[in-house]
Amino acid sequence: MKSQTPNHLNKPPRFSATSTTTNATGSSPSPSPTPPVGRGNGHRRSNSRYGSSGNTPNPSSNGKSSNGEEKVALVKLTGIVSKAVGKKVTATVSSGARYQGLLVSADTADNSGLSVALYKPVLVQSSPFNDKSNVDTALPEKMIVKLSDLVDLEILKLDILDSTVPDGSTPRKAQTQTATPASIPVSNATPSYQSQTSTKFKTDTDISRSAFKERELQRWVPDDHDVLMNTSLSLEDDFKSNKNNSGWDQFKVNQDKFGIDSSFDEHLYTTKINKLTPEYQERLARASKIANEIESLLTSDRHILEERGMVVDDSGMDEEDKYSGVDRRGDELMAALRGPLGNSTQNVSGKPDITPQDQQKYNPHEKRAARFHNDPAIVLSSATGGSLKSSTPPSPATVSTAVPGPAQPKALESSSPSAAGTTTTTASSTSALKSKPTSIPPKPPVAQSTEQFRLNSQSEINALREFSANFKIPHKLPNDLLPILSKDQKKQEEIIKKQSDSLQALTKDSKSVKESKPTPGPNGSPTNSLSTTTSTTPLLARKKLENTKSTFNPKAASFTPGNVAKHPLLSPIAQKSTYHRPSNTNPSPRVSNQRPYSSSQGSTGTSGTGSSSKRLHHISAADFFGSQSKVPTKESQEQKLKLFNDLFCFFASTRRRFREEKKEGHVTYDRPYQTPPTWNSTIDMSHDQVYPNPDSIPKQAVGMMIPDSSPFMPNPMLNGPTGMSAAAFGGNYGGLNSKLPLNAHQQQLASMAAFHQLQQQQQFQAAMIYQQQLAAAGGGIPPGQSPMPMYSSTDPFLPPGAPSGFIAPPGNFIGSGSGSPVNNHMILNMGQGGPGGGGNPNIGGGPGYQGGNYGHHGGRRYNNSNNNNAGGNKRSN
Amino acid sequence: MPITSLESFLFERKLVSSCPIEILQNSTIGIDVDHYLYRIYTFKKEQFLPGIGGVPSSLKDYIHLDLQVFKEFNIKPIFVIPGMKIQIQKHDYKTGELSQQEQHIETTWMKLSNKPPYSYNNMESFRLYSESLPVRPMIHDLITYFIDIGVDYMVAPYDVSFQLSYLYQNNIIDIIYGSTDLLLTQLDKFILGMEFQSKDFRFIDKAKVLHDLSLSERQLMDLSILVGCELQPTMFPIFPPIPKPNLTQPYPQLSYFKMGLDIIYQYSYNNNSNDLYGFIMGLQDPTLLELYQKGHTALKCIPVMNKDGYVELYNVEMAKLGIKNNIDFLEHEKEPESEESTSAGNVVKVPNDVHDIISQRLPPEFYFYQSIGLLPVGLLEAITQGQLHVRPPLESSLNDNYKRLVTSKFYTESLDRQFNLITQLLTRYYGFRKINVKFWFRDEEEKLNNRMFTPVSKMVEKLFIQEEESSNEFNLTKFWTQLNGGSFTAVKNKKITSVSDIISTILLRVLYLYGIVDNKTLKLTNLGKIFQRFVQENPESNNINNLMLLLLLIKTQTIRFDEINNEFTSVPKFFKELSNDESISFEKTKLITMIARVFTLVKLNISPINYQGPISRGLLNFRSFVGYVSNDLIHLFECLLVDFIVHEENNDLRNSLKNKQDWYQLISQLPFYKEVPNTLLGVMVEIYFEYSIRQAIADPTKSKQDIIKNTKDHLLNFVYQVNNTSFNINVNGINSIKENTLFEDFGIGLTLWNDFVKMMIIANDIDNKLVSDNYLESVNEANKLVKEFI
Repeated sequence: MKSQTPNHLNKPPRFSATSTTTNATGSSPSPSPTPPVGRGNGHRRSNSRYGSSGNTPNPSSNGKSSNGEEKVALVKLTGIVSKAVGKKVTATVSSGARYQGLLVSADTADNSGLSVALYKPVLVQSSPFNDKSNVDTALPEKMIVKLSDLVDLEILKLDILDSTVPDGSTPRKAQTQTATPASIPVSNATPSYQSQTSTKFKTDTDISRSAFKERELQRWVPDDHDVLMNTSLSLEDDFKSNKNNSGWDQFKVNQDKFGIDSSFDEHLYTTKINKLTPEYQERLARASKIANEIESLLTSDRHILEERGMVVDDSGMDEEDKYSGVDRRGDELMAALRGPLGNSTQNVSGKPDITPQDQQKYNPHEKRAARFHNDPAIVLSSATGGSLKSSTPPSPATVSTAVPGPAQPKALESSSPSAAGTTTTTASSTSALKSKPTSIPPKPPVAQSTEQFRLNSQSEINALREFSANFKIPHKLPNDLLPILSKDQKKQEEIIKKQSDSLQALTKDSKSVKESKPTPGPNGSPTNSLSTTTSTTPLLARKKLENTKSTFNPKAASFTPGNVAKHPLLSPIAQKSTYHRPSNTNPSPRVSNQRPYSSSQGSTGTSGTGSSSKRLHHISAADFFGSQSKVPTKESQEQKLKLFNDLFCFFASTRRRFREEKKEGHVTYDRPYQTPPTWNSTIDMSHDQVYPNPDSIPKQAVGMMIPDSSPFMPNPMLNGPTGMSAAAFGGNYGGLNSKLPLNAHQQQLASMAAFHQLQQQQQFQAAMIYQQQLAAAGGGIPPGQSPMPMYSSTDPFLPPGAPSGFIAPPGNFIGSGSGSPVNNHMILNMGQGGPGGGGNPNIGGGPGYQGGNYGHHGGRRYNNSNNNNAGGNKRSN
Repeated sequence: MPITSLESFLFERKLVSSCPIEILQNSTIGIDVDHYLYRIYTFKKEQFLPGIGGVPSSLKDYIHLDLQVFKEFNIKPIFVIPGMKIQIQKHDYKTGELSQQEQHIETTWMKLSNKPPYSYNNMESFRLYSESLPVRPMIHDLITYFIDIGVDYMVAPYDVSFQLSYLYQNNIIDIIYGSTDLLLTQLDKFILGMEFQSKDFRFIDKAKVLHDLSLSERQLMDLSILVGCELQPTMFPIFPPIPKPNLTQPYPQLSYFKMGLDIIYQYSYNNNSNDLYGFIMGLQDPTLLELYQKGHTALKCIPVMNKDGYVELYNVEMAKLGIKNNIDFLEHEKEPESEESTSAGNVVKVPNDVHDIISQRLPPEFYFYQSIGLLPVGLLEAITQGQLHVRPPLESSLNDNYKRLVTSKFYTESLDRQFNLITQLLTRYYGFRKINVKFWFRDEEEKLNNRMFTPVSKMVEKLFIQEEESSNEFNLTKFWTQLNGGSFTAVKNKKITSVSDIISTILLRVLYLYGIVDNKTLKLTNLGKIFQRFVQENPESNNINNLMLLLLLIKTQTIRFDEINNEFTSVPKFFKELSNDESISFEKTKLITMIARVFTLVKLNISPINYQGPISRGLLNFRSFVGYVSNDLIHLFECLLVDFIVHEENNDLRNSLKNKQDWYQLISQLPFYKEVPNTLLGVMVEIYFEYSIRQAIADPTKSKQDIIKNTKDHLLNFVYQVNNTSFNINVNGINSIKENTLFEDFGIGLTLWNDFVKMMIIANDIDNKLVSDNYLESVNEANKLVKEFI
């Protein structure tokens, strides 16, 4: 848009001279058209930010008097100029020269016109009166054009949000208005929200809440110019392969295209590798060995594991959780404890697909997942948060299931077939939520003390936990789950059969339920809604109804499936069996071993049945001892004691044997001296020969542990505990430890463990740790002696300065002489969010690192020139 | 020592389940005594025990209460007491090196002596929070108590957990109450804790644990070896030490097991390996590799006593039961290991150097003696390991007199004899092998001369005491009156069967070896005459065994009873001062010291859960002297008894003692079997007399009655605070200090004192080299003092 200083400001004659190009009203209709298509719409939305911050001229003052008119014009000018700040403008000065630059500030204070300051001015058109060219070399970074010199100010791209402009008849306004809803689709859905918060700082959560409709992405097609330059350029192409084809050389391109001669020399950034040295191959081999070792280090960091191509159990996590989201575990619990009163009131029966939860501040990922899946298993498995809400008393959804009638056979069916009470509730409430959300008018929330709410939700949380241990899917198994459960065709069939069997049994149940037609809960008390729902299963119903007056009781026996032989507290594995292997058939814990890595993902559900271990469960003696025949009786007890007293006696057993063999005469006992001092061996090997040959075990695979407690926590420490523990080991601490001297590797492991522990237990502030580490750095490791010989500082692949480029550790940390490369390496890893990933380029000689740096530089330059180029294009337009 | 830090971790992981005790109705339960005591005597209880010595006086009460609960549900316990240590459990102390617990005791004494008196008993503990009470000194007392109340017990040959597992697998017991070490054995569940108050118990399901932690059995073993467990107690130094206690964390703990889990997960994850063998190799420390291999061998091959009374290796026994043990994973994991071949052959792999790793083997007969408590565990341990460690006494290492006692010729010769008696019975290997005695303060080891020219058994084999009418009650007084000397011969054609004859005969042999019965004439020497005369003059006295100990101690001439040892603090002044004005003369202090020492041999039957009253290091030192003398006596006695049985000298005890009850009857009557009591009565007496003397000095006109009354009040209200509920926990409970118990025990002590005075007079009369006139003088002075204030 082109905006010029208003002409009716009478004082400076020059202004009136240029007034021909100026609109008299000072408002927008501009001859210069919309911005270039390629850049336009995407940016427009951001302009809206300025909308509310701009000055809003008062329409009522318009045209009342000449004085008033003048004022209005001034206000408008101020408004426009203030919006133009930060934009690219072209200023024409009295000499006739035109300068283009960013408008940094403008001064309209003296009512008489405009003084502007331009940032990085560029001479666009030199003065026609002055033939001297190339003045631009002397242009300052900031140029102030005074009122007296300013002839014309052209703002290149200005988008005035129309809502702030009083008269809405201008075409521009129409244009922006149509544009806005397209780019911000959410605005209709949450109008109040946007108007309130649009000016505030947006957190990730805020941004992620507004559901974007992604633009359809279009494949980039090179235009002719590019095609000429590079015939075979594509994103996927490897740097190397192109180099071989002498394809892309950015310096060359840069020079050809823009005449820029690069002074880049990669050895400015890294140490030159002398490939001619005779030891080069040897070193290379060593480097790759070290790299190999590092890559085989143990880690539990999910990201590193992913980088290494390992399968990580990330079910239930979406991309945001994995890579960028803030860990919000525990929020649901808090929310539940606070009581969902406020939320339920919002639930005006509106659009069925947007539940009230959608509008809440944050959706835990489980729930997000749950909404998009129709599979009840997934819905239920993520039920901790969701079902909690839906089954909370005042929620209309739950109430709906509590009214079983012919109108809702579906809900009934889904609510009946489960053995456990909560299953029915969650399943039915979810399905009810989906299928018939509007059929029942919302009930007004029942007034209830928050304390009671808290207690209720607490007990429900407990109940759900318990439920999760006993849950069986009541529905037919989706076919696509089968190959996941088992690859074996036979097993798949078995599963299906099992499923259908249990389903049949359950439908029988539900039929009988329908006949019995349970009445809705005896009172409308929301706390009872759950037990009312469970009453659809007759057996449990009786139990439940007996204590309807009590609130929902998580300890209730109904959670123990009656026909299950074994108690859940007890292992399902047969008595007195031996365990050569973990109970799964897989010899390595790799595949089945998901738990350890999910241990940091919340401990609530993982421990399964054990979560209620503190409670007394009504285990029968038969359960405990394995079978009814093993339950001790008085007789068996007597027998056992008699056995104990008769047995374990050398003399008695000798006599017994003697009698059994019916020998004559005196009993002879083994002479004590007949017993040799050695035991009867069965193999002629010493104990250490039994073990596999040491050489057959890959030693390089030894790793160390990385604490998995806080994989994301950037913590630039690790050297600290090394020093500490080393000192402690060396000292007189611990009689048993002094028995074994430490070698370097152990020391390091010890430090790792110490670190782990510190993190876990003491929660030191990072700052404190730093101090410690600084204190320990002097004494911990002898100066100049690296803890790991293989990383000796003479290694040419590890220039001393290289690691410090990654992160900036405190100066004296490196300088103190304790700087073991290994620990630096670890530090880097911690800082970068995971070892291995950061470490590899470092150890491997640094090309990756350089590459990154290089790319960075190149990118910036390119951008710069692009800017220039864009400017040039603009001008030519 | 259970698997390090596993117990708390299991609770953390909620792998411990609860159940009411009534489920165990009618069951037999095998109890690991070590673990049982560990559960009773948590760190907060009996904090002063190492400061007063002896067996905790509350022990019987605790067991009694628990047994009542068992009785209610008709649960029969079988207590299993830990036996010998194996080679890798042994710690080789350097000269002067103290164990952590010993160091801690030393520093606690230092702290206490430097404390201002008014804060005397605030929160100092002689116990290290990381260590439980040692069981071994309590074994004899426990066994007598078990026999008393008719509870079954057994001393395991080696490790308790594996012995219990054996019992369990053979259906001798229904369930085990033990430590996490049981996870390393073959079983499916065990009880970790009994809550007798709330009548429920906590149990652990092994399969559940393995499943939840995703560990194979092999991995669990590896991990336990890494962090340390009972059989391989050395924690690998890849773990950090426990941080030093500070104010915020007075009892710091580290979850080593958790760290170990991380190692194992990651290692197995990355290396597709089911064990940590490669990991240990990667540490590149042969010591650790050795520990790992030995630990594994120990875990599999630890010997247990089987039903036949033979001691066999655990995996051999399990294989006999048809339990395919996890022994074969010693094969390289990648070798295809077909199930058929292992099950068909069912060969348990026992390497040929098990004896080096675990222990050398003893005959089953000796394991049996140990299992009923007839042979001291420490003695057999020294034989199998070839080394005897003499550790510093409780009051710690300073005292030269005690060193003189334990290194005296008399007592090293006594050790020679004990080992000679036992090793002569064993295979020739033991007879030739020297046993080294290592004193804690000396570099060079003493080589015991257990190869004597005349074996001890030959020396004593002719000595018998056989009564016409023998009974099953042994009486020491009667024994002394019988010793008329001359003819100690066996009655021909009549075998010794009665307990009294057995014990009399053995005691005679002890006295013979001690020189109390002359070796040639078989007449009593002076020492014997003293006893004999004393018994003749005081046939009613109950104190003869204590007097014997006192006189034997006097004979060693390492300590004079009225000699004050300035190295050690006595009862703090705070408890016995009236005001600061009165000063007691040195002479009187000596007398009080003598009185208190004699009284120390009597037990004060107060049993607070956590005694925090006055203590005295000096008296503890004296107790160590008595304890050493007493232990030597009983050890020699036991060796002679075993020798007597094995040689079948005019006896057929192997057959005539038909069942265990007969054996129990014998054991329960062994003299000097119990541990010397704690020092508390001595402490009390010291306060009593000093406080009384101070009163007399402060106010010479005060009547005797007033002084006694004041002193008693002082003791009751100030020192023991009998009525103060916060001090005397459970004022009305079973563990409270009561006025009458205090003064009843005082009375018993007084009879000992009176007898002591009489004996000293006799001793001076018979042998005034042993008890000089001067010595007697001070005894008489002391007696005057006693009379003055009683």
